[in-house]
Amino acid sequence: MQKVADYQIIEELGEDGIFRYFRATPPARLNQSSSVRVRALKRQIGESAISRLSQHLAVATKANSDKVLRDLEVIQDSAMLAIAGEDSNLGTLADPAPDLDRSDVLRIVGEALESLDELHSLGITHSDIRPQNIRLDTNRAKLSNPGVLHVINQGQTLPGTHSQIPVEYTHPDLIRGRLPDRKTDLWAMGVTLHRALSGTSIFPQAPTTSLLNTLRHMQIQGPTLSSSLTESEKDLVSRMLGINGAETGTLENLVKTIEETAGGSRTENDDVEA
Amino acid sequence: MSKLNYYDCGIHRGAGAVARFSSACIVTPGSDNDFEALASMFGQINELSTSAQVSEVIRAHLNRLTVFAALVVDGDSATAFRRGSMEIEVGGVQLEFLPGAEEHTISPFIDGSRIEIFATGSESPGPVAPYNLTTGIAPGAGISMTPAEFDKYPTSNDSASGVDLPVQEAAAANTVLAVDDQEETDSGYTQMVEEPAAEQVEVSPEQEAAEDFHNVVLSELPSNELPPLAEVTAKNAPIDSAGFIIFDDGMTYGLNRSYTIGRNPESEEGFEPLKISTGNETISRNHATLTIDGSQVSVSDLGSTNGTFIWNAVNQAWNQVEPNSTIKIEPGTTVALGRRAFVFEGVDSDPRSYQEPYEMPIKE
Repeated sequence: MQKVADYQIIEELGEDGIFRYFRATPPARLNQSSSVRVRALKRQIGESAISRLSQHLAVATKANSDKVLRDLEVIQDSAMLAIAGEDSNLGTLADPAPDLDRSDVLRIVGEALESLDELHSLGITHSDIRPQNIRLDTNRAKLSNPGVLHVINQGQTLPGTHSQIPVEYTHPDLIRGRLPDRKTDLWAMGVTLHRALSGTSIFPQAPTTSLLNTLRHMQIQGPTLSSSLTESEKDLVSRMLGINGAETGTLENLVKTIEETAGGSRTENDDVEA
Repeated sequence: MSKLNYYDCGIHRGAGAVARFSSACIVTPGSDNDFEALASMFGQINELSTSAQVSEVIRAHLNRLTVFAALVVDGDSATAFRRGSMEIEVGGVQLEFLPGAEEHTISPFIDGSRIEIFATGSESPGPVAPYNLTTGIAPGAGISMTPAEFDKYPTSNDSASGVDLPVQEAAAANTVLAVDDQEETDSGYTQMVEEPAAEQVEVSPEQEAAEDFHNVVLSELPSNELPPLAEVTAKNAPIDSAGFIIFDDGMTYGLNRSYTIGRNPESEEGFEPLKISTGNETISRNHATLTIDGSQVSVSDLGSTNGTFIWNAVNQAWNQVEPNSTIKIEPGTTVALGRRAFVFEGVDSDPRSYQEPYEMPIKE
């Protein structure tokens, strides 16, 4: 069986521009009965970056585990750096184990917003919100895998063309060097909701010939919301993106609105089924 | 520097070649066509005394080889070479060579990193990985060589290391190479190493904790060093940035700070080190600076070996930045450093189509 440090790998879960992901059995010293997720950095970083990374992730471990899947350890094994964190059992919003309808998607994003509120209350941003990092547990959705790119390489805003992460989750200001904050996290959550409901990008006209052209389009053009969204869903996404004159309001208020929208969506679904 | 601790140069009939030095390992499943080049290369390397010289010899022989991989460590950096269907992993991370590139610089290289070099080929699905510098070479590789020819070249002229590697069939399992002369540990904590099931033993939690890795338990770290998010947000807006730069591989950096760009740039006050890798050695350690002053962006060359160039779209030619001089650049400008390039994109750049690919100033 393969190992990363003293974690026994159960399966490889894929990779993106920054990490390779694994499900693993934790070592006995952790007293952790369930499997964990290990993300192994695909490149080497220096000691100072490792220290910054550890400090950054340590803050998030103070979050309520009912709302946020926490990272457990940063492991340095020879030249490899890996982060071990809690796992969940029902997949992610990008690849959910159960079938989801619109009201489920709204509920999940609402719960992820509560997770985000928990992180923000600790003074940290998530900075890598996307469907893959909204994990589904038996009881609720939780955020996982706080972003680390800006911590590892200060000033770097996109990892490169080997990344399999669409750039639309990155607020246009972030690309120019803005530090992640509440606004940029909410932007990513809005893109996530839009993607989960419509299956499309908020920049449907963005050229795909080169990353530079995509970024130029994003810097100049505003988002275009899918016509498949209901008016209330569009309003929600607009509030999260901070577009169309929509006031974002508090996270608490957003969660309340999303619950109401989910309720409405549930009723519409019930009517269709009837 | 004393002579490299050369203790095995395994050009073995029907088995490919593996050589391990104090600071280099070389692996090739070989090909009959490669024989002369390999023999010449190994023979020359045996007379060398520095890692830089080893790299030079490998570089000189690369275009005569069809299937080959090597990693040469030089202080805090390393150079990987690859030809054909070979893959190299350092610390469990597979090196990503730029398209067409045969070299890859690893900087910083962490001493003691574990190296895996393996072949991928259509004949055997998945990694073959039969090469182990400790146990020898698996069959199936194949550079043919007669004993007489073999004798013409040294194979183990330095026994100071006390190791004279036998040629033997390696286990079919994935194996790990070490790039220095340290003995391989039996810790089992080699990244992504196949462990034979029969050899699994019970390990107590205490034993596990004593193994060869370093873990930081996040919940035990102090976590009160970040300012409240509201404070971060307040500082953060409005954004003060001149735009962004995007490299040819998509790496993007915000221009809310100045950078020193290079293969392994030093930190200087007011300049963030921006480390870029290259498929060869065309980037200097400290190559250029990118200075941000409000919305103005300037490039300076730091006396780099291969120069810094700015693409002149009107004349369709590269203009070299004089060493230690500063050139102001406009949004949309393409800047080349060795064989890497980036485009500077301003905050309010006019939309324009991406320029057609151009020839780089530094050629292969």
